[in-house]
This record gives sequence, structure tokens and C-alpha cells, in this order.
Amino acid sequence: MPEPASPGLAAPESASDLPPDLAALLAGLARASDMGADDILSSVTTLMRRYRAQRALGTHFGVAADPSRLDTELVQTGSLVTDLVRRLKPDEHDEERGARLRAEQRTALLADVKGVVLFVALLVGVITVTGICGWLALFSPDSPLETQHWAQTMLAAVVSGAVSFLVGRKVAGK
Amino acid sequence: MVEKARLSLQVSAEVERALADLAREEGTTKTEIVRRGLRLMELVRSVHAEGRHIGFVKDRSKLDTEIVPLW
Repeated sequence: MPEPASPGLAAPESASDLPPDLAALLAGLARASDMGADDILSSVTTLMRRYRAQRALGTHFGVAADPSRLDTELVQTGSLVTDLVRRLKPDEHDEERGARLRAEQRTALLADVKGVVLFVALLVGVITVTGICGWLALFSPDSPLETQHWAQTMLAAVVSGAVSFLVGRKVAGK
Repeated sequence: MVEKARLSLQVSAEVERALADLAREEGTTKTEIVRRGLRLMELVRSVHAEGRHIGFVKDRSKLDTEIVPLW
């Protein structure tokens, strides 16, 4: 059974060698925060853990003048940097939620109307062209031969397009 | 040539374990972990001293300055 370590200090086997520059940095932090080296190193390991966890999430680390731009902020507790603060959007009030939902409904309705208008315009166009071509090709023997050929070509194109569309929908529906 | 003196530091068993775990996960030494951690802490303190904020974002365009550690 190992001897219990004195408060804040470990058994000799836990001692670490520290290069002078790090020792100086540690001493400077200790002076600035009025804490012992062990407490500072404890904070350092906590900070490193949180830093690693954040980076593992694929986040970017950096500086911003406006803290609200940061998803998660590193903040200081007393003299040491120990905490992460996750900024959450404030709760939405009922009025804000209602206004947002109304705006979303308006946008959705506008998109629906646009779709229907476009579809109807295309349908009317296709039906008109089909009707004119059908009449010219089938029921207008007095029209010039060239016009009848042109109308038959158009009619064939419309019919083949319609068949392709219907077959495509049927295949896509399976 | 700069003299490379070393100072011995005693830490609690808990800190020793945390340093050792981090060193193993990062594939480096405990001293390097201490170096990185202290530099990180210094960086955060200096940014706060300038009245700015430091942290993490998903969208990097929200940052005024992105910090990419060289480790």
C-alpha cells in the first residue's frame, strides 16, 4: 500500500521534469492566479480535455469580437481559464413563434401557387398546341401539305413526350 | 547554445494521471502536454485581456481570427 501523498503533492514517482521555459510560464501563471502549480496543471489538463473534445466535433478555434458569434466560448473563472460556455439561442416567445409560423406558411403557400400556375400554364400550352396540330393534321384537308406535315410532326412529338412522361412516372413509382 | 536545465516538479497523482492519459492519446510526452496546455491558457488569457472572445464555432466564417495550433 503506497504512502498517501501530502495534500496537493504526489508521491515522488509522480514528479515530472519541466524545462525552464515551461517552469517560468507556470510560475508566472501561479503568481498571476495566486494558485499552486498543481492547481494550474489540473486546470491545464481540464482545458486540454475540453479543447480536444471540441476539436473532435470538427469545430474551428478562434477569436471573435462579438461573443454571440461563438458556438462555445472559453471563459475565465477567476484568474484561470477553466470553463466552456455553450451559447444557446434564447427561447422563442409565443408571439415570435406565431410570426415565424405565419411567415413560413405564407412562403409555402406562395411556392404552391407558383407551382400550380406554372403547371396550368404548361398544360394549357400543350393542350392548345396539341389541339391546333391535331386539327391541322387530321381535320383540315384544305391546309397546305407542308403545314399538315409540320402539324403531324408536332403532334407525334407531343404524343411521344406524353407517353415518355407517363411511362417515366410509372417506372419511378415502382 | 542555450543551456537546457531542467526543473523537477511534483504534481498530484490525479494530475499525473491526467497528463499521462493526454500524452498517450496525443502520442507525445507529458512535458509537451504541459507546454501545449500552458500556451493555450496563456493565449486565452491574452485574448481576454484584449477584450475579445475565444472559442469554437462550426462555421469558421463567424471567426474574426482562426487559430490553428501547430501541434
